[in-house]
Amino acid sequence: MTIEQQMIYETHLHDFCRISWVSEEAKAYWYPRIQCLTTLFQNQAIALTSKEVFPLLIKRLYPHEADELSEQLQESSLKINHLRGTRKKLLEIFPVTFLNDQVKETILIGKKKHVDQALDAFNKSDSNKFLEIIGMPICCIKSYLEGLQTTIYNGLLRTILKEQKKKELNNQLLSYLLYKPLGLDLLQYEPCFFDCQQSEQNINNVINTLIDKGYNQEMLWLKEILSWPISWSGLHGIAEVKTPINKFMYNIDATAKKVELIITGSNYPKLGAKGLAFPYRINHSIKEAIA
Amino acid sequence: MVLEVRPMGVKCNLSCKYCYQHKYRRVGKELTDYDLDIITGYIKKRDQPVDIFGGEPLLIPIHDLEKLFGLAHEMHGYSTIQTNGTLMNDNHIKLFKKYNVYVGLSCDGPNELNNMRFAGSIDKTLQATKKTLDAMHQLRKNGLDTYFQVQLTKINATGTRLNKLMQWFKELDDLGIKYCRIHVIDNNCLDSSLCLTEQEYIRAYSKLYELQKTLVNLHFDIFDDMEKMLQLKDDDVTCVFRGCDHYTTEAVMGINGNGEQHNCGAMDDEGVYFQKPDQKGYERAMMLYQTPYEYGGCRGCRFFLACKGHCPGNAIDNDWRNRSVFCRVWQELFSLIEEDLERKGITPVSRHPKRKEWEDILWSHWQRGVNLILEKDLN
Ligand code: SF4
Ligand code: SF4
Repeated sequence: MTIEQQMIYETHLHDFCRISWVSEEAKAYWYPRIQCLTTLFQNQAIALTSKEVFPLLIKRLYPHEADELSEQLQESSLKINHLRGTRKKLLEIFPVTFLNDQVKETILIGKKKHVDQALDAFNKSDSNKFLEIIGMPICCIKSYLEGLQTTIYNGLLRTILKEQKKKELNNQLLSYLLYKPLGLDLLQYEPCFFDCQQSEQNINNVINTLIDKGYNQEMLWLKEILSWPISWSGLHGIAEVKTPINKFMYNIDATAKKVELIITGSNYPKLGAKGLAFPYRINHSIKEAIA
Repeated sequence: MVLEVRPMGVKCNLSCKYCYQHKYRRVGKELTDYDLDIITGYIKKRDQPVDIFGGEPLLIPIHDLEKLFGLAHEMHGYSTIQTNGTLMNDNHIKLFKKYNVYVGLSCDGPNELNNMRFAGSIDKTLQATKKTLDAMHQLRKNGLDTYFQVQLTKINATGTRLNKLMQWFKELDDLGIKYCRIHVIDNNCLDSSLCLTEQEYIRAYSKLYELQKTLVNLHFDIFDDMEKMLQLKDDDVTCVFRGCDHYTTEAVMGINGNGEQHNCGAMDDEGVYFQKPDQKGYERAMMLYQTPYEYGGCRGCRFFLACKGHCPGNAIDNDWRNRSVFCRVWQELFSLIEEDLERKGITPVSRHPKRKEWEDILWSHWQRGVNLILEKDLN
């Protein structure tokens, strides 16, 4: 039995993500910016797909949202299709962690050839091929498929568990992964690890494309956020992320022991809280950023 | 929920060794000044009963205290104050009478039993303790109700000291004091050697439980609450038995003199005043219910409906996702009270054939973000 299998136990918990801010000022400044980025990624995901930055987009939508989207895309070069299957089948084929909301449907969006190829791979239960089509690097596919053996669906948790210890990193670009539950979703898969170069490249592609499209200011906010210290921990099926401006918690696979990750960061926001333990600090001695 | 008003933040004239607020002091949350307009504006906006709190709230000039008591009286007819009593004088007592202020005194017993409430030296501490007890007598003489907040420590609840503490409680009972809250020391106590061991807590609480049976007036909140919880009477019990959502700490909403809002001080180990999220959630209790005991959860515990993993602020390893580090103490006390209830012919919830059914109902409501008041909602 692997360490991962020993650590995980069966539980049920609804999908949730709740945020607590360090102050009303930090919330007033940063919440609208994070919302703006979330909306930007949602709105631009389809545009990025038509530019083939994402060859194929997978979304979980309520039926009425899927219908609306289908109408919107009628005039475009993109095709939309449902991916129908049980939760188990879906998980076997691709790494979507938030599948608990049974009412939502899984939708594929992309150029006709990609959608057809993906449907074919899905019907043949060819995970490798399917993940390749959605633009997942080989190393991440390998890691994901290995992870399936352990039934740990959360890629982040899986990679930390593999290390069997608390991880300390300073990989700012990929610290975005920890902000994913807030909607800062730049990739539609979870990298095999925090220093996955191909994933870093994919994120850079997205950021550069958005800068080209005129979203300079938004990308500056994003880079600012990604440069902060941040801690992640998981225990008993609840993950908690602490950043200088807020903390938030959400559901993950349940682990018997605490697993932790720390990204040391290089900036600290002016509105970041003073506090005694990481990621908080009493003196904001390192370079202060924009707010 | 009461509104905890802390005009000077956590500023205090004492330095109790176990104080859970030291973390805030270390990040500079003691205030030297405050804005009364901000505070009164907030009190009006929230429209909740007011508890004047600190640090030590009697550090505030008397005319400002009067404004706060006056406003609370106008809005609710009363207020409460939590003080160590060492600064109390006749003028304060006049205000308490005039504005119907219910005074909570923090004291761990007479003389050396209270030495952890440190005033700078042992001599000064003993003098301060005398002032606290004089204040209590003055309050009683003036017909004012008061209650005590007592911490159990190595200094007052081990060996023969425990007998002295019990003797003091008998004296309080004779004086007509009705209510006393007995606390465990905060997880983050700077000097862990002050904390009782699990066995010492069990011994101390068990003896106090037996003592309560012999008292006429004085009640210890913990035993009353546990007895109520074992009968699903959860409408007015303390927060620790209600499946506290540590992000919203529903029992506590607070404001400091500079307008900063705070949650319950039992959380926020970093000394950060985290703000309440928009939604409540009971994920901690839901996961504890499912998590095996050996991993730090409560799975299978027959007292779960009554306890729910207890306070997240005193969780194992300081991680709110674990159950209370004092679990064995609570289990022991629940067992004692359970036996007494059965002797009286009452079936406690822990032994009730419908226990599982009730747990399922509670759980399914938590899933929707609703914390049932079992007393009302299960009947
Ligand atoms: S953290 Fe503990 S003391 Fe604070 S409100 Fe919750 S249960 Fe009560
Ligand atoms: S007594 Fe212990 S195991 Fe039972 S609910 Fe309370 S903390 Fe959990």
